[in-house]
Amino acid sequence: MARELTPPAIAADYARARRRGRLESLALVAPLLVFIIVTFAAPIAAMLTRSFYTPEFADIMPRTEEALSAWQPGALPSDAVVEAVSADLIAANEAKTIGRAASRFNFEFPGGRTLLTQTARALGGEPARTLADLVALDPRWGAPATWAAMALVAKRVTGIHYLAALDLRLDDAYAIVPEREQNQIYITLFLRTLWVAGLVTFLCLALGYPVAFVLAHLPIKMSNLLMILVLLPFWTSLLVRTTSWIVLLQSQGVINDLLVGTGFIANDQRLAMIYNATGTITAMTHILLPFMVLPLYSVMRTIPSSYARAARSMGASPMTTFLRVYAPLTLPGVGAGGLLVFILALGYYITPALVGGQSGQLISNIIAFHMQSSLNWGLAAALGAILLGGVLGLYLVYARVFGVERMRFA
Amino acid sequence: MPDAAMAGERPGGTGSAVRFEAVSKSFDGTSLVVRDVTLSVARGEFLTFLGPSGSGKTTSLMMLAGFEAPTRGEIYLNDQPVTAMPPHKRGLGFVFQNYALFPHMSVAENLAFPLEVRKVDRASIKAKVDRALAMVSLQGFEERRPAQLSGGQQQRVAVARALVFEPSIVLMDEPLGALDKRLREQLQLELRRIHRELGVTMIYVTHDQSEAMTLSDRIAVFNQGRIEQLADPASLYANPQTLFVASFIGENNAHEGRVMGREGEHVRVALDAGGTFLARAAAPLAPDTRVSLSVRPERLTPGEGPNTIRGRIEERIFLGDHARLVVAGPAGDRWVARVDPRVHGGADEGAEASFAFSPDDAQALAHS
Ligand SMILES: Nc1ncnc2c1ncn2[C@@H]1O[C@H](COP(=O)(O)OP(=O)(O)OP(=O)(O)O)[C@@H](O)[C@H]1O
Ligand SMILES: [Mg+2]
Repeated sequence: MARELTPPAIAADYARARRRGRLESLALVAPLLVFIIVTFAAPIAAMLTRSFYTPEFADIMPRTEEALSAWQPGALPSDAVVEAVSADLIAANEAKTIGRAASRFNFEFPGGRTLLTQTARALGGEPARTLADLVALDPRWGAPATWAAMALVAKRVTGIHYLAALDLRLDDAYAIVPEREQNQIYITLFLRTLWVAGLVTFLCLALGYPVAFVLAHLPIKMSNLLMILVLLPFWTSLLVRTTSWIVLLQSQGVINDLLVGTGFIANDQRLAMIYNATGTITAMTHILLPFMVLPLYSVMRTIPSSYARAARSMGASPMTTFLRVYAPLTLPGVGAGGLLVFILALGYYITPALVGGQSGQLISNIIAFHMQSSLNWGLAAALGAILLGGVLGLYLVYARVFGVERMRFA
Repeated sequence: MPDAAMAGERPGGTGSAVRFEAVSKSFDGTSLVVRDVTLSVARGEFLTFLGPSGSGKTTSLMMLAGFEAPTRGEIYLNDQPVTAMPPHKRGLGFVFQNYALFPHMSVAENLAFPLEVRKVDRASIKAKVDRALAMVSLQGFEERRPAQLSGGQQQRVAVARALVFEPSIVLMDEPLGALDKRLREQLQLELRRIHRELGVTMIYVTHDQSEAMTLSDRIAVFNQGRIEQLADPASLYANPQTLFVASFIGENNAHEGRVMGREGEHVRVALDAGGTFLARAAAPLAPDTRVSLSVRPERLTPGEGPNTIRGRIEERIFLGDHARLVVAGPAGDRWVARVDPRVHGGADEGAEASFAFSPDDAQALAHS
């Protein structure tokens, strides 16, 4: 039965063919998609949830959550509230969950851990009837700030982690104020991370562009050989690489010994090139360089020499030829390489942890600290969410400027 | 276009536009890609480098444009030696084989580029770009990117870009190589017209002999880096100086033999396949010199004469304006004849026939 070639029939055939094509591509990417959802998207979603959803305290102390749900800062609790709180404390003490609740409270209220655990123990089995009973156990119960802080911690959905991540806090009257001077560290760290990532990207471009240029203009046999040198960082373990940087850069290291030995600097003037921002930047540039060279190289390989020759034949000097013809044609590679290096650098963790010292720590290191040591996962999640949001925002701006469809990653 | 117009008034005028003097080029220090090329191109002339792939045409052009340095010899532009002159100072228009249009610029920006680097003012740039586009009939394509143009349109943009800054010498490296036959022929005519109108000196590279014939004032036939012959199309066809030229340009009957001796204006050649023939000799030939006898197919006419071939018609192909016959001689030698199909309609396959050619139409070409 011959089908007619009317416009609707053509459109239907076309749509069917398109649908089949799409299903095929979906089937091809499905395994990776599932893998990514399970190992990547789901953990990130769980992590992001943590940044604003903290049920631990409320789960352990449900009566307190109920009693403090509409708390007015500056007030002192009624007898009913005191009874609810002390009943929760007794129950938590018996269930041995008081420690977790106390830790959570301690993040927002310095000294809060001992306040809760000691009060719980001192109460014995008998809930307090009036505020005076509690104050008798610990005078801090008499301060409105204690109760304001506990009302915040008792909330399941909260923005305090984001405030903390931005060096802000709620004061006793729940007004947003800057964090105390000595506790302001995160903004500085975010800015330092941006600065280091930007500088590393710039250094990778400055070092990688000429290398990619040379490689792209060598015979393919030779350039493959030399490419191994560029790729070497990929093939050695991160620890070996980082250790070799330590060997080279430390104050008793190869470079300092050389400088002292040749008399360029005195023995007591050895340069501090590691365990600070310099060390972080040096090592990160080394490790991330291939991510810049590879896209640049692959773009430069595809630029025929006839473009530059055409420009020269039309009267352009070598400089003009480079600026107006060659460089613009390499932009897709610069865009892709820059994006890769910058985003990788923003989240870099292991290198700054090993060679960064105090001044070379980046935002990922403090996130790891809150994940592993202080166990303030809510704050870690908020910091991570801000980093992620920042990266996505930068990516959008970048895509606007460079055009993602024009980028060439390899 | 003052330079070009002047050149147009006196084609082939006094000094030469381009001169190669004993130019050789080696890329690896052992083999020569261009060998001892000497040639001179007159102002306003259209000279074509014709030759098979790898014969050194592009390399010669690249040396002229300054992208490769001669290993030996010297190149002169307007009688000035240019070996030390960088490409951007030579002021040559260049059309590359793959066009080399800048993909990140529109057509108008591509054309404006050579003017901008010459610091021409905005208003004149606009006027010159418009004029160049009109010359190749591409008005209205200013804002397109090269990727949005067809092959023929790209080629025309490339030509316009090489001409827009009014160079007096334009080099073109197989600019029509990638196009289909019809488009190629149409653009050949356009190139001819442009050359006539502007009076520029053109050096053109191709390996298509009919293209070379259509366009050129003179043709330099390249073979293995050497110029085999440099002459106008007619004498190249009628009087090839070497066997290579004879067989590269047009169809050709070539049969090996040896010189028997002079007979007046001509030499007598005994072919290995049998028979003796009278032919012209491009250079004096001593007896017993190994030669090839070369005759164009259209010079064979039915009948008998001083040079006669007898044989059987093995193949007859009707080709519209002519018929192509393959005649097998008694010793298995094959001759191709091109005849008028109306006059010689009766010559059927399998029939015995005889063909003759004038001694002036045959060449005895020494083996090098
Ligand atoms: N940059 C180079 N390095 C080494 N050898 C080269 C280079 N360019 C050309 N050659 C060699 O020189 C010879 C002549 O090359 P050329 O490009 O001049 O040939 P051509 O006559 O233009 O041929 P075609 O018609 O195929 O373009 C070739 O054998 C080629 O391999
Ligand atoms: Mg060539």
